[in-house]
Amino acid sequence: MNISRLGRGLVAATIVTLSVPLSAANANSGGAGSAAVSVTYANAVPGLAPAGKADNAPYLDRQGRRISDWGPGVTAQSSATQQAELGSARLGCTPVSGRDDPHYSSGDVSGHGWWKKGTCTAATAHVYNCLYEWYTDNTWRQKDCSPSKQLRPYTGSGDRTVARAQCNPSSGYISWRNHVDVDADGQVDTAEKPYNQADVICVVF
Amino acid sequence: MTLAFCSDTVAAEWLVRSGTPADQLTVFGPDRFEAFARLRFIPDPTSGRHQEADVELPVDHPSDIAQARRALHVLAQFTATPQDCYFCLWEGYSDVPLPPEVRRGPLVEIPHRRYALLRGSLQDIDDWEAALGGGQPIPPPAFVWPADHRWCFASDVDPHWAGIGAERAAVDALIRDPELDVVPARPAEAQPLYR
Repeated sequence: MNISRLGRGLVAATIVTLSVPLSAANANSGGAGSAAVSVTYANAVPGLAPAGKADNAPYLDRQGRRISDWGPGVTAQSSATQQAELGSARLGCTPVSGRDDPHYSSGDVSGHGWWKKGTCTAATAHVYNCLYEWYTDNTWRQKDCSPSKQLRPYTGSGDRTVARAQCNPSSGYISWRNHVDVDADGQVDTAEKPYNQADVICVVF
Repeated sequence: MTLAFCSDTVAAEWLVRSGTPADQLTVFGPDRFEAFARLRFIPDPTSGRHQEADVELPVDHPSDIAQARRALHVLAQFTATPQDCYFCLWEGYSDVPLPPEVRRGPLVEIPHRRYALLRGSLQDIDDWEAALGGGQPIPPPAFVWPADHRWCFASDVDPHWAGIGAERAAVDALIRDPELDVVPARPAEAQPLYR
């Protein structure tokens, strides 16, 4: 979503406030039984996200670079509060950003994205979604993003984007997030990129 | 009768303990039926790189839930208990959140999926979106079956189709319906999927 709008400064400020510097994420592992072990980007492994740390953890792309505008600033949990705080400052409409829990099917972990009009009137929107896997250096690492697709409001299977990654289902539970970005065509809309988070018995290294 | 969440999952034991391989159970239900079919919500992919959103659909293409509803109305002729049916709702849809007291469980659990269990008459499928989705289109139930277990309708989050197991006459009736795109299926074989 293009957030070069009235709300951008506020959203960016929120990201700065809530983000954890990457160096700080090296302190401890979130994995079971390894709390005292120093974990770096290089030796971190996928694991279960501990409550608290995961909410504000940085997001990394597939090259390990921090993703500045796809971070924890606007989340499923915080979006309602932020909507209220920013409500008077926003001029745009608010689409419903549909997504599902990351889930395992036939050798893949995947997540979908879709939209509904909410307060928008646009007939179509551009939608994409991305999958992130939790790593024990307290980062969410991008594993796949769908292409951006022009979609009509959700009616079913033909109105969804999908991000998907092959995974190994012989692991224990791994924490995953599925973020969705909806940009209503021809309208200014709100900038949230909400997510669903789930623990899935499947790992991607 | 109206749809109501069940406080226990006993009614789903026949499905959970069916012994059907998990990948097959999720998309077709138990493997005990005489015949199986796929209700294709959108056409099958024509290439390995095709995504669901690449399919060009007519403006009036019916929603998944509308197609599911029609199929369930056909299946109503093939049960002695249309007034007593069970519906599973997957826990993972952002726009169909489970009520907190339901989320706490018990939920129906099979490998890689958990569902809330609802009970109602088969006719209650007509109110699915109104009851659970604020009147907006939402995905079909993950499973529907009548109390006499004469058939099972399965609609998992991933496939672009729903799997149906039933007696052959029921599957034939679905295939004959001109408003539905239903094809025979062999659940143990690989099925068409978008990537």
